Amino acid sequence: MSAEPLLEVDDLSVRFDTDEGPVQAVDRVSFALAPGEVLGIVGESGCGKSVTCMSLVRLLPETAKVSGSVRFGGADLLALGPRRLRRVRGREISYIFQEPMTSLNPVFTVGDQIGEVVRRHLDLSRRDARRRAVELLQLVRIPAPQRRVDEYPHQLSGGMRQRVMIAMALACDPKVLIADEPTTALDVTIQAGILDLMREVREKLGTAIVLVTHNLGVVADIADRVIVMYAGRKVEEAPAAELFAAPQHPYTVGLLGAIPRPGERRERLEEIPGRVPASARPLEHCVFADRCRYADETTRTQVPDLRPVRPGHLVACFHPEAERAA
Amino acid sequence: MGGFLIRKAGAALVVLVLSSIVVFLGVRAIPGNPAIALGAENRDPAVIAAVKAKYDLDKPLPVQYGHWIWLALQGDLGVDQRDLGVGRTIAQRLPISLELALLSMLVAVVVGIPAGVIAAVRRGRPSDYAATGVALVGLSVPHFWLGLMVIVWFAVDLHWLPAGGYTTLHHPLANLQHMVLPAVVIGTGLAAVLMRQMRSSILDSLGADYVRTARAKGLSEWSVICKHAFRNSLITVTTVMGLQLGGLISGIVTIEVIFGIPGFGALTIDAVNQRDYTLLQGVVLVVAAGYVIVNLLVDVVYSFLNPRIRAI
Repeated sequence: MSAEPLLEVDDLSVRFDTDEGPVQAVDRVSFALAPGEVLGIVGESGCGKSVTCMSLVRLLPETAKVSGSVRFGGADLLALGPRRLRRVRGREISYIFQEPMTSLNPVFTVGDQIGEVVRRHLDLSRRDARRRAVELLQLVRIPAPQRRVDEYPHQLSGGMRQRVMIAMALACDPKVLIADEPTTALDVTIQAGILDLMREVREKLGTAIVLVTHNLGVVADIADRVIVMYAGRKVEEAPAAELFAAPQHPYTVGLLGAIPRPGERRERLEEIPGRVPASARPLEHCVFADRCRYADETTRTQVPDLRPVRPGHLVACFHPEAERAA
Repeated sequence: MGGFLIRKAGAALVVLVLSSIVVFLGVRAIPGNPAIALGAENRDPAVIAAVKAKYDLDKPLPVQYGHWIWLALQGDLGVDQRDLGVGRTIAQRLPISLELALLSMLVAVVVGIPAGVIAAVRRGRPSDYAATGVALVGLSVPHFWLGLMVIVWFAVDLHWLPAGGYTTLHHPLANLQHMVLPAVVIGTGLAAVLMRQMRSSILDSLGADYVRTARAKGLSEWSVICKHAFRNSLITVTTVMGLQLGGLISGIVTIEVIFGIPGFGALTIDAVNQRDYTLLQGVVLVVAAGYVIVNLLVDVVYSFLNPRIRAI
């Protein structure tokens, strides 16, 4: 991953001003994405992983206050004018969302919705756009694409709809594909197919993928590198294999302990006690302190910085596994 | 698609038959003897018997109904008290009201729909408050009052437009001059309803996932709103428009009376006032048919707007 990063996120913070006061959804998150890399972002619901991804091309509602910078292709996407930003959206950076049923417009055919992207960005004629839509449906392995192209979303199964979303996202050969929980709404057997397809996309087209999920199995399956988020902060980052072999943050350790393993008989799965703190403003201590079994005075009064425990393995913890073992 | 329309048309036919029965019985349920009413002041039993025979009133109800509907199907709605063909009278008056209804709807669509879209897109800003406020006024002001006011302003004070009356379509300009004020008065109320409906359904759509997808695709705000959000919002707005158009057929009465337009509404009032049962029966039947046809049209438009309905 020594290549020049494709996308560089620096100190990204997102705050929502709600009726109940401000909510700090993302707190100073930084990461980089290399060309062709698959980066997994994991964490439980509400940890800010989706908000992080949406904010990259400013897809959040106006109530969101985003700060920091997102460097892409020599520009800061957070500072880009709307016109130039729209040329990045869908062409350079594209998205797949969790719910393929509601993410597709019910009143237009899938061909129309795929064709719309290429017509917008590549200036194709209606006929060429349709031809391209059929090609793309073929690419994502939808059987009988000639017929499917004229069908409406409700006529397709959940897995096929997600394939349509992927086809739409790939329409302009983007450099980055951001997949926000792409398999969560699907059956397990369908999930595997979608993950295979994404792996294939990366191999064939060299698209870098940011994969947001709460499912560690999905991450283990496909990601090169993983970021673990907790309560709006990045708490750990490591190459995927290393994260699973030697997790450092007590939260990551807890997450991995909560995965059932076949063959291992236990009375209960391990759980992490307590709840995620509702964050009104940036905390003045470790976000995980209240639930951490190693919490002490330092943890409760200071914010741990991200620091490397090994090359490429960062953790925001005063007592990472490696040091406690020593 | 074909199956859907055939089913809808079949259902419409059933509704039409049922409503014709209700109309028929309803008119006969009105207190008083139709034969005596038709015979006017004449209480001579011979005359009454003759009248009964003439209008089939001496036969059992099912036979009367069968006879009436059989003739109605052939376009013959019988004759009224003045021995004029009911069908003919309706055919003369109905187009006038239809023209007024369509013009009103046009005013409502041209004003209400863009205002709704703008209010939704600029939610919480001055233009939204202005549009919503004007709509509230439009909804609250009674038609008859607004009708009288515009007559005072535009006809009496300013002399811009005639105060009332009607000219046939053979003189299009004069016809339009007579129609403008009533159409605007009716259209104002409708526009207010459409605007509010449009505003709330665009707001719904703008919060939907597919709008986020459209934005993520890099589409311009114009095509996000005018293609993706608008098309979905039309589905609910069509329902409201259908209901209103149906309601207009009968709701136009007051305005026709105020502006002295010899339309269908005025005819209905006359039929009731003169206790002209044959005429009333014909008028109400046509209104019922109008409702059914408008509903059928709404279903057809629906199926074009919403592909999911075609599959049902």
